Amino acid sequence: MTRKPIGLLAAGVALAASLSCYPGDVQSLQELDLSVAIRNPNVPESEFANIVTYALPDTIIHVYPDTTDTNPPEISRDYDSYILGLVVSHIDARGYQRVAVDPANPPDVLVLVTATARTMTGATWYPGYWWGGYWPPWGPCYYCYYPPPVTVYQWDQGSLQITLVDPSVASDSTIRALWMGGVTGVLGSSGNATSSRLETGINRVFDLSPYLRRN
Amino acid sequence: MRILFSAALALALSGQVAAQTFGRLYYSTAAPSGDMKDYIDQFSWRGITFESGKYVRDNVTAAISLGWTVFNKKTDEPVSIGDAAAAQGTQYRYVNAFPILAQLQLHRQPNRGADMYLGLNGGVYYIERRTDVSVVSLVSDNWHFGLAPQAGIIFPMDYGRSAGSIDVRYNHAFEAGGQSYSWWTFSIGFAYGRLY
Repeated sequence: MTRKPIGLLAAGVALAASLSCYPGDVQSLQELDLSVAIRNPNVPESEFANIVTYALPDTIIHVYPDTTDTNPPEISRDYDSYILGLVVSHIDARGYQRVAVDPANPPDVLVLVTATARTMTGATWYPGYWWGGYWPPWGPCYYCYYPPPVTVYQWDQGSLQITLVDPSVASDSTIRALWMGGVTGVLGSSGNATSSRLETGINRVFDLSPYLRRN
Repeated sequence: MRILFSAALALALSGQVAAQTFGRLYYSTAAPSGDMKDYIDQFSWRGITFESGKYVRDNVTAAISLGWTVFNKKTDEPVSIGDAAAAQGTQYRYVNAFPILAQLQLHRQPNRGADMYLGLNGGVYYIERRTDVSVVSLVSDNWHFGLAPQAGIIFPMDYGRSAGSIDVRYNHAFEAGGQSYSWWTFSIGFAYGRLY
């Protein structure tokens, strides 16, 4: 028995054409957020158990890829206190004790919260700054530093970084970053969902780092 | 690859139908198994399979089988990156599998009822694996050698003027590029040419 395959031809081609290689679409801006946590590979997880005190400047430092830019773009500071509160609550919950920022009496670790004011590609790069967080910095830096030993290909504008650095080895202008957490793009736009995006993103950063805990 | 698949399908179906030849077109669903379930564990409703061949004996057929199955999953599972890094965000995971297989089937002696068969497919699979997370896409694609045992039934329709077919097969694409894949395919379709 033989049959003309015209109907099958139409059905087959229509079926093949209707298939999509990549079904599903991004349904909200929050789905583009990504939380990352990176431990310095040279720092064993056990080292975080020996940390007792930390200091955290009361500002979010805006980071720019171009230090010659005298009019750098602004990103919102509406959420600074909210972000810092979330970070402090997480670190406190891990058993670490917050102390005042005092270069004469440095803590075990310094927690720096930074936001990428402009999309940066290549290695992360931090301009010199001082603990007051002004831009551009004036006078000598207490903790100027250059890229930590972590390379990230791109930070989108509005990305948030939380970095634990060891202030005790800053003598050669290169300090040791122990750990970095980041939430990409979360401050790139402001909207009703920004607070929940920040909370979800920061929660995930610490969930990804269970070794951040004092003995 | 999708364009190539559609073109090959159109070309094969538009050929002359000889007395001993047949073609079968299936809508295919699929269930991941083995290691593949660690990446995507969701059932796929997106697939198509086409076979074209001939009866080399009364109860033996040889054919070429082409297929396309799309697996996808949305998840926010955390991912470890080496020993020191981890990430979490909404991931869209995709596996597009295109089997290109030679096929031999042993049929039950033809009669007026349904025709049951067992078969073995062997050949290559082109498989693309893609993970979209944030604004980044991680893509790996490889050609895999693979095997696919199968069983099925061809049954008459429309008072014997056409036929339907149900097919079940287990696909295993051997490791290439550090990844292997396996899945079950459940297909239903139509046949033309020599039906049974």
